[in-house]
Amino acid sequence: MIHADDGILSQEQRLMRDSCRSFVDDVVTPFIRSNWQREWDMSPGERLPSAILEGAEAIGVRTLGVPEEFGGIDLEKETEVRTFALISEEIARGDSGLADKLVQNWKVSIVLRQFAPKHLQEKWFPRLLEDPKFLLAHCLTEPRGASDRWLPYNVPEASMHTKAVLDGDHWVINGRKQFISNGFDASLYVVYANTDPSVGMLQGTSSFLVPRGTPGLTITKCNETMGCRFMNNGELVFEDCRVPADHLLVKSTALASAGQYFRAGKIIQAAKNLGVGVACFERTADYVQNYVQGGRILIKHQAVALRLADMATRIEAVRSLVERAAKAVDEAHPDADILCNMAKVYASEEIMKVATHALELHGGNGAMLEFGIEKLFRDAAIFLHMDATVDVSRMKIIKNMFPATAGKYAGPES
Amino acid sequence: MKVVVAVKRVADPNVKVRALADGSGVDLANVKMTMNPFDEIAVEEAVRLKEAGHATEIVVVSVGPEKSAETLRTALAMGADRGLLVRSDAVVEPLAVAKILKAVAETEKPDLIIVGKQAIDDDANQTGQMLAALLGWGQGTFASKIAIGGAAIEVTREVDGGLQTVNLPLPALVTADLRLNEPRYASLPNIMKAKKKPIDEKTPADYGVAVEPRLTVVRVHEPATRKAGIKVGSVAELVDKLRTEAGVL
Amino acid sequence: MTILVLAEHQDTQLDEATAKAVSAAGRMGGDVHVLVAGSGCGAAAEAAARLEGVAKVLLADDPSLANRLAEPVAALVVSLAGGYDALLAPSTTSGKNIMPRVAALLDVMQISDVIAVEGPDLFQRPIYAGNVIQTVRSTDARKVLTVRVSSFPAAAVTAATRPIEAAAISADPARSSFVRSELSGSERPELTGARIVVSGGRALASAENFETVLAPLADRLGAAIGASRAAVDAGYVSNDLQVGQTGKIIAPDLYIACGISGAIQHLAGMKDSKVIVAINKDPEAPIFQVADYGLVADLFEAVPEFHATVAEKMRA
Repeated sequence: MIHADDGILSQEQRLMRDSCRSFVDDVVTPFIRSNWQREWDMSPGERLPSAILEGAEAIGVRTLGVPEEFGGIDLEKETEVRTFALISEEIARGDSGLADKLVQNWKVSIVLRQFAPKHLQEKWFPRLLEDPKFLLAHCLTEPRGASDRWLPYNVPEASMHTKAVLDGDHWVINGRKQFISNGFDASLYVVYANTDPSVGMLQGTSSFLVPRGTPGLTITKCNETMGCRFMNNGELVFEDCRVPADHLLVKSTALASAGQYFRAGKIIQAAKNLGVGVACFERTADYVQNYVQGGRILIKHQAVALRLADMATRIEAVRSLVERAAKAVDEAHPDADILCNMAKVYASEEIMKVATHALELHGGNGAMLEFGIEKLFRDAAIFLHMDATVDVSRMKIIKNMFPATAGKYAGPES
Repeated sequence: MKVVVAVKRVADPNVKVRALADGSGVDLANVKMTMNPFDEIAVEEAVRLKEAGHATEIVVVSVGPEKSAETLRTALAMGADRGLLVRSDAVVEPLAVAKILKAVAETEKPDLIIVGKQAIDDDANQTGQMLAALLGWGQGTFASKIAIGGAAIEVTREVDGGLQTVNLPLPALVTADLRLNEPRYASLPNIMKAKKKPIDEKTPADYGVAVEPRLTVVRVHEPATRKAGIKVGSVAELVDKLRTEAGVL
Repeated sequence: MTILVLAEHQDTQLDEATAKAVSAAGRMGGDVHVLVAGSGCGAAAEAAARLEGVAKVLLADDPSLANRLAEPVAALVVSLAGGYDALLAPSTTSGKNIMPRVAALLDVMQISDVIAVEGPDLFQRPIYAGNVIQTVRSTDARKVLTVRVSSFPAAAVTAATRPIEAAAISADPARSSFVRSELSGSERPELTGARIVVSGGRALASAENFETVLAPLADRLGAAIGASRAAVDAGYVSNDLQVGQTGKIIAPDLYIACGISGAIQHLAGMKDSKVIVAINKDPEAPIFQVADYGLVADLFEAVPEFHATVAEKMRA
């Protein structure tokens, strides 16, 4: 209970899960518990010591998604997304921000292995593998909108503001990207930009590889977020940022062809929040079995037991849906998109309730920064808004289920 | 140099194991299982010997049920080269394990055998010493440090009151204590690679070893739990109680 | 029934573990003989001959037995085994090193770490770090066992002395040689044998605090210092001081836990202590559930005060 059922996992998945759990229990959790102040360090680079990333590196979780021919690992293709989910959950059990830092690498590595020209894969994968601090970021969201805008009303007026124009053998990018996971720290960015203003965004958006340090790319700030603070969210400005023509990953149909890795990303993210829920449950179960009120341990008070049961039930329900959705993605089921969005919504809202119970059951201690429960609560809360808001995700569910009616563009306001 | 390491699948040390209500054994249903922590240290030491150029091949052996193959797979992912599962669904006592391992050693002809100093389930702390005795080898138990020197090995042992260092001609047997090293985690890429390493399967009968237990478990029970005592209000009261009531100061 | 107890000793003196093993052997019924094997160990044999319940002492005094290496001592015990129904040693590191070797050579399944003798062939022993107790019956004709010394009282020392006989020395298998021994230089008693243990957790917050806050109290009480896994993991003390399931399992007369919350892992290592004191500023810490005396206080104030109070009482 609470954790994944060993019976549905392959031997390799179980061993991977065990390694991740040991790493979290031995390294991540002790660090987080005894350094609770560090997430509030206002020098973003100082928050997470390099030893943690090096530890993640030692178990090989930073470079999932990198093909074996470049020194990465080829997971079993039939269960790859389920394996990603399992690992994401385990790491997030220790720290959701750390998990986020790492999973961005997987997500972008999948993009690179699918769309980057061979010579760029040969250039960047080895660098990613060599340097434990090498992070990747995926730049989609813009100040004017993100998931709310690309619902997708696939019309020119909904397209991205960031634009890329071909000038000789270079693309010139101009625009802003905000709320970018790993945006502040990444060494390499995948950037989405409009390349044809006359068509809808599914036909007119292209993706580019932009290395950090490219003239014209400025990382303007690290966003101080309420949760997941060990992942440094950033804002980027592109001012006549020139990248060689071969750095174009997907011409025009970048968003249309993004489905496959977007789906994996949704699962990874939902599983990450599930890990937060598991941490909430473990901490709370331990607490209520050890701490005494009125002469008996808390769990013997029925009001406490009922809340704990509610936490367990919600976690199991989220797990069932995440597993179902992950399987659908692995098997390219036609309903995969819908299930992914459902998993995102459910993992957001149910785990938020789990975290609320955890906070409540810890009494005053729940509100104390040094106790670490309020951190889980913040990590759960921020997820409501990560990887699309819950309401936008709901809209996508309905638009996918009823494309002819709900999915139809009603035209601009007159 | 060839190294054999023996590993056991046991309940995770972080899990509090409970006696079955009927006293017939312990409840291991749904308990997370893992490699015995001292055996992990043994595997790690063998891998380090290989990385340092001393060992050429590491064979990892487990005596136990089918699921022990997973424990072997973990050892392979840590860096062992091949596995051998001696399958037995019945409980195999340390003496019988030692006999099986002796037979394995006679086939494999290792220069060094490393085992954990004890398994954290039965806490017997016997298998290594028994195996050394049956093979007529020297033993370096409770090792906190080993150094290979030509045809011998120097083993620093954790003994009551300090450390003792002994020199053993090879072949020899070492049992690993907590301080010998800090075992690595099996990394995800190595777990995938370990999938391709071979695990051979045998039974105790293949080695002519009878596994009928010599000890009959009559009863298994949990010790009386300690009751919470009293809270004292001050250091003075505490010291007073310890002197007069408890009589321990 | 005749039982041979392998003595724990330092040649010139007999360890208390031997007296405890003798009393455990006495509970099996029958004659108890003690084997003192070593080099220049006559004094230890004489001390063994004064233990109540001992019928005879066998003295194996030979340079090959210096340092009590497993191979020659096991060969010696095996050579004597024919005259005994049971062979017993305290479960010290030496006993644990030698006895399984003896058992295998005799084709006997050893019973390790016995905590209670229920009959000549029926014993209790802890498994899963003492979370569970197993009662086992040995079907071997000859028994080989090690006994946990903290579970048995020491046999009394009497004025009367029993005969000491020289034992025939068997050939040294010469499968190992002694290089050196480094006994810990610390004046403090060894953690596993100490009567009092003062233990610290992560709340100590630094290696220095172990020395400046905990050590004075420990030294005043003649106590050993222990630590929780959290304190060891944080690098405050070396891991040979770790008390717990993966560290040392101890049962002192008095265990003083300072700033230790009381994780299951830790409790497994100290819950058999006769008296447990917990000092912790968190009144809800689980350690209070097993403590005989709990003091809710900041250890940085309470421990120095404890030290001062004890110092004062001892002067008085």
